[in-house]
This record gives sequence, C-alpha cells and structure tokens, in this order.
Amino acid sequence: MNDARSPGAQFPDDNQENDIATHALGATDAGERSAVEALAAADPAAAAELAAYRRLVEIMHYSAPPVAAPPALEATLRAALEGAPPVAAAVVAPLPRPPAPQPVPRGRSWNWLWPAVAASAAVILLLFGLNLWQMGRIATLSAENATLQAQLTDRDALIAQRSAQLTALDQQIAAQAESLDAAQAQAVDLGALLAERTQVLAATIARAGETYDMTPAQPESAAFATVGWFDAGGVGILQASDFPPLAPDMTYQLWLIKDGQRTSGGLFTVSDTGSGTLIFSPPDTLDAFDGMGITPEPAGGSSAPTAPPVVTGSLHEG
Amino acid sequence: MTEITDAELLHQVGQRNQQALIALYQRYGNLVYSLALRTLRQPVLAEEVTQDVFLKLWQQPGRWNPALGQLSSWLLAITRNAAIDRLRREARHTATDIDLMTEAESGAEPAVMSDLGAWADGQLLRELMRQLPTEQRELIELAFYRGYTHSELSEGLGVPLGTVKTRLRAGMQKLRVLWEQANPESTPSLTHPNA
Repeated sequence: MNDARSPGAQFPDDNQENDIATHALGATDAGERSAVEALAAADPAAAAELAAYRRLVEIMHYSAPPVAAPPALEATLRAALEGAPPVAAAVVAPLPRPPAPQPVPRGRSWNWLWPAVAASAAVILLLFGLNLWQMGRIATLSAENATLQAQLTDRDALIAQRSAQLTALDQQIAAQAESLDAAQAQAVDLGALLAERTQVLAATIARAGETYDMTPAQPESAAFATVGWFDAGGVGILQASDFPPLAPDMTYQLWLIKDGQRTSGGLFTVSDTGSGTLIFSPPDTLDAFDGMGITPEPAGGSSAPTAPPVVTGSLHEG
Repeated sequence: MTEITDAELLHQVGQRNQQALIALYQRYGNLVYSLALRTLRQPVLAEEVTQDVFLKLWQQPGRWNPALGQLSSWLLAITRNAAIDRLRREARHTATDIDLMTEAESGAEPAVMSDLGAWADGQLLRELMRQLPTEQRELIELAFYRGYTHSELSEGLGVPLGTVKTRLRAGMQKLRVLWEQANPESTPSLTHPNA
C-alpha cells in the first residue's frame, strides 16, 4: 500500500496486469488466474501490486457487519467436539499457505470432511440411542418379568390355599356323609322305636277307663286324635295322627273346655308324618270338662286359643 | 495478566484440549459467524459453517502457519471458502440466480470483536466501499462474498465480460486509493501478526 505509483496505472494496456486487482479478489477465471500468477512470479512490480491488493482483500474479510453468534452455538460446538473423531496432532502436517488468504479456491473445499464427521456422529448417536433403547427395553422386560414372577408366586399360593380349602371341604363332606348315614340309621331306629311306642301307646289307651275321639274341625282335614283317661292316676294320654306339620316356632296346644272357659292341657309337637303324643294331668277329672280342642299356637303356648282348632271333641255324649 | 496467544491455544488444541478450542471460539466465533452470515444471509447456514470451521480447526490445528499471518485472518479465509461452497450447494437446490448483494439487516445483536485492529480496518473498509459507484461496489461484493468469477458475473448479470472486468478493476483501484487516503501512514494491521 506504500507503493508510490497510482494503483493499476502502471499496467494500462495489458490484460494480465489489468486482472491483478480482480485476481486478488478471486474473480479471475482459470486461464486468467494462471496468467496473473505467472506474471507475478516473473515481475516483482506485478508481485508487489498483487500483494497490495491481497492485503486489501484480506482486510475485506473483516468488513462484515459485526453480529454476535447465537449463544447456543458454543454448546453445539462443545457437543460436536464430544462426538468428533480423535485426530493425533503429530499426524497433521503444517499446511504451506501463502502469506495472505487465497482467492476462493473452488476445488479445495474443506467440506469434504464434514459429511464423514456428520456420518460418524450420526452413527455414534444412532448406536448410542439404540443402546439406550435396548437398555431401557431390558429394564422394562426385567420389571415385567419380576411382576410376572410375583404374580405366579401369588397364584401358586392361592392355588395351595384353594387346595387346602377343597381338602377341608372334602373332609367335611365325608364327615357329613358319615353323620347322615348315622342319622339315617338312627332315623330308622327311631322310626322303629316310634312304631313300637305307638303300638304300646295304643295298647295303653285301649286299657284306659275312658277314651275320647277328637275329629277334624276343618274341612278336608284328616287330622284325628284319641284321648285315653286313667281316672285312677288322674292322667290323660293324647295320641294325634295326620296333623299338619308345624313351623319350627309353632306348637300344638290342648285345650280343656268347661262352661266356655279354655284351660291349657299341655303342648306337643308332631312328627313328619303328623303323629304326636301328649301325657297330661288336668287340674280336675276329665269328665268335669265339657269338651276338648287342639289349636296351633306360638312356641311356648298361649293363655287362650289364637287360631282355629285342628280337631275338637266332646267329653259328654249327647 | 497476559492473555494466552493464539499459537499457545492452537498448541493445546493439538494436544486435544477441548477447552482451548472453546477459548478460540470465544475469541473469534463472532468474527467467523459475522462473515458467514454476511455471505449466506441465513442464520442457520451461518451457524453450520461457523461450527464447521472450528471443527476443522480441531481436526487439523497444524494447518495454520503462524509465520504466514494471523489466525483470525486464516480462519476468515476458511470461513469465506466454506460459506461460498455452501452457498453453491444450496443454489443447486434453490436455483438461485445471481443477485445483487444488499447488506440486509440481520436483526442480530452487534458483537464485540476480538482482534480489534484488523476488525477496525475491516469496518473502515466497509465504509469506504459505500463511496464506490453502485455498479462497482455490487460487483466487488458479488465476487468477494459469492465467489463469482468474471465470466459467471457476465453471464449471471447479462453484462458483457469486458464491462464486468472494467468495472471490477476500477472499483478495486478506487477502493485502494480510498484506503490509502484514509491511512496515509499506516500499513494494514494484518501485516503484523500478533502470534
């Protein structure tokens, strides 16, 4: 820049000299570039001129309006450095460079490295992501496996519990079956005993001094009762047949009637076949009463009949 | 406190010291980004080129020769080449015709620049370029920022080749005169590398 000559004035009519300034700018085409470089190599004045313009172009690199790089760019660069392939410094040979920046070297782009760096980074990121995904998948499967194992353990425990319950139920059923067999056997025995006692009772009543029949008081009823009176002991024996079955909270009650007054003669129940027996001892001889009746009453008996009689009978003929 | 030199930082980069490279980025990142943005005029592309430049520095720190110039000057030359290459690749996809270089408002924050001497020279040169006739200034900017040659400018603008060369040469000569008038006693700062 300290050249005393006017810029460009020293080569007014020569194309090579005219291209020195634009060559420094990088605007010359291939043929022009080689011609200018040859001139600069052969002519010190041309070389000085080219150097002056190159310094001007070098300053031009700093002429862009100053703009702050985005803050995130530094973080991006740091991340890229983490993924950049290692390069040993000793391997890198110094690059012989001209004193000033060269015009745009279109065939010498540095970008040939970038696809390789980007591809390497992409592969690393892909492998890293795949590894993370697989680790996450393994963790998920492990958790699912642990859950299934716990469920299987719970299920085994439940099955064992159910098996124990079934065994206990089987034992209970077997025991109940045995009890049922025993009860059935006992029922057979009781039936025989009842039949025997009924015969004994009938024979006993037959030997009583007086007998009284009580006939159905309700239409289409087959209920029937016979009372034998043993005047010597002041004891009466009642044998009921074909009485309707009672609910568990009910009982039959014998009423002795005199002058319209009902006196309880006692309570009894009947079997499934409607048979029942009552031995009673009234406060007076039986012939002191006018009649008899039997009504269903709540368990424990009532002070007076609360329901229509099942059977009734007179204690005096006529 | 003496600031560590570019050469020392580059030496540490050669020893795979990432923090040293980050220090260089903090020192010259704005310069590189500003040039990339001026060339590409798209912040995303400018960011990619800026990152690309520093990754190249990381991978091949030995390619800078301190005896031949300042690190910032070398970085900016790399940036210009990378940005022009990127611009040409993008142009293949967008079929962008040659257009005039207008200094668009970026809307970005002005940056504090390192290497203040060279940067001040550059900003002065930018002001001087505004004194050139428009047809000369636009051709210089297209050649510098877009990397167009004489023939490409002639074809793209539909201007005869001779006219292109005449206007370019006249613009550069006038710019040189303006520069020397503005700096009668000085030599451009770039001739005295601080490394």
